[in-house]
Amino acid sequence: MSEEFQDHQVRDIIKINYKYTMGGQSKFFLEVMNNKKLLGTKCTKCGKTWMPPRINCSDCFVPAEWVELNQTGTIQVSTIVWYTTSAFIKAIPYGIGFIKLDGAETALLQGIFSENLVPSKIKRGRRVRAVFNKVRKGKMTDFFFVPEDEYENWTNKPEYEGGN
Amino acid sequence: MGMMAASSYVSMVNAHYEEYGNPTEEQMALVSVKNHGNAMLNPKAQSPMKITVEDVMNSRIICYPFKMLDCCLYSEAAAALILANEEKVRELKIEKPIWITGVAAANTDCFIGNREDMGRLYSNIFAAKAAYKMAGLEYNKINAQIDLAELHDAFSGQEVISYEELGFVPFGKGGNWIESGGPFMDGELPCCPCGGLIGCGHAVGATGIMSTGEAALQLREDAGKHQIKTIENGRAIAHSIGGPGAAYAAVIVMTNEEGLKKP
Repeated sequence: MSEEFQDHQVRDIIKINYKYTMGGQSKFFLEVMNNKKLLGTKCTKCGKTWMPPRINCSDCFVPAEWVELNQTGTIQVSTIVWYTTSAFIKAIPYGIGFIKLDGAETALLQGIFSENLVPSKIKRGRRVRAVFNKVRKGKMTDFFFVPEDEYENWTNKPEYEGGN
Repeated sequence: MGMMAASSYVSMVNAHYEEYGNPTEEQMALVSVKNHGNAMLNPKAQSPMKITVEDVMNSRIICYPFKMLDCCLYSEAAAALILANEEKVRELKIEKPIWITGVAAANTDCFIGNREDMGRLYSNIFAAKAAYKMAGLEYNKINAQIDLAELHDAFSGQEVISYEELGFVPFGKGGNWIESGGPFMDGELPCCPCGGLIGCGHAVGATGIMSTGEAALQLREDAGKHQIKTIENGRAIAHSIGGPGAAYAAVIVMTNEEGLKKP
């Protein structure tokens, strides 16, 4: 082969159909989708309440049992995102933060929306409440948090509703 | 959940700010000014820039309060180190070898939501203390015992927090330290003289090796234009973090031949 190698490149889109399981955490997603409930887990040994749920306690390594949690909580830390992955780019700017639900001992990472999205509105210590999409797919994006004083406004919108 | 590297790091920086009132946006911007500026002297750096705090403040917002110039350049590159044991170094009569006198790595909770104290990276503190101990150095006196530090500055605010966690300044004082010029090229303890990840580019996976190699070049006084003025103690540290929520940290202490003889 004396001929010089020529690299031919093509710009294309590769789509992948994919199915994955939520495994031991399936119950959490099913309860969000079907019943608008937020479930954490409680360690059967030390009693620590995990949210997001762990099927085994990450401290004791023993099984944890499902417990229903309140849908209100406190922001631990947050940011407002202006640059993100393709899946979320249409939603910018949006807030995200770690929220400790009342009764949970660890914080859940979730979207925080506000009609007045400024850092002070979603800062540490602010109280938030979960709002659910009317059309739910059993994914984390089925719900988000809003400041408690905006809860009524959000649940009055046609595409959203309050939890159970 | 719409969280990327920048928003993950910013969570820690925001939590740190809530607790200590520092680093401020301007203090973080100084890291960007310093590291892009240091990169001007490094021919291998991919993001050299002569910029001001104002330029950083005016660059486009990525996730509050990080602006584009607070973030490293995500890049591709390669780095390499040649390691050998003492016997081989003596046998080959290697000139100006740099000795690794302390190494340590530590982990914290990968999930930020599990952390009691979200504004700190305990893995940094544990890795630093263990590496200094192995090298016979003291956490509280480390500034006076080393000549420079190559830090993991993927995001400006994280470098400021690292000053505190690695023992250069007390907790909550990192922002003031950069204001006073401490980590600049001609400051008390130059940090990232090569430009760091912000100035050189962050080739994930290769950067830890780059930082370690850069610290070694400095100790050999072979760094060229970005060589710091004085190698006095003959010691340097390289620091790197990674993993989800930057849960994993590693610190390496290095010494040149003269440094081996110093207390």
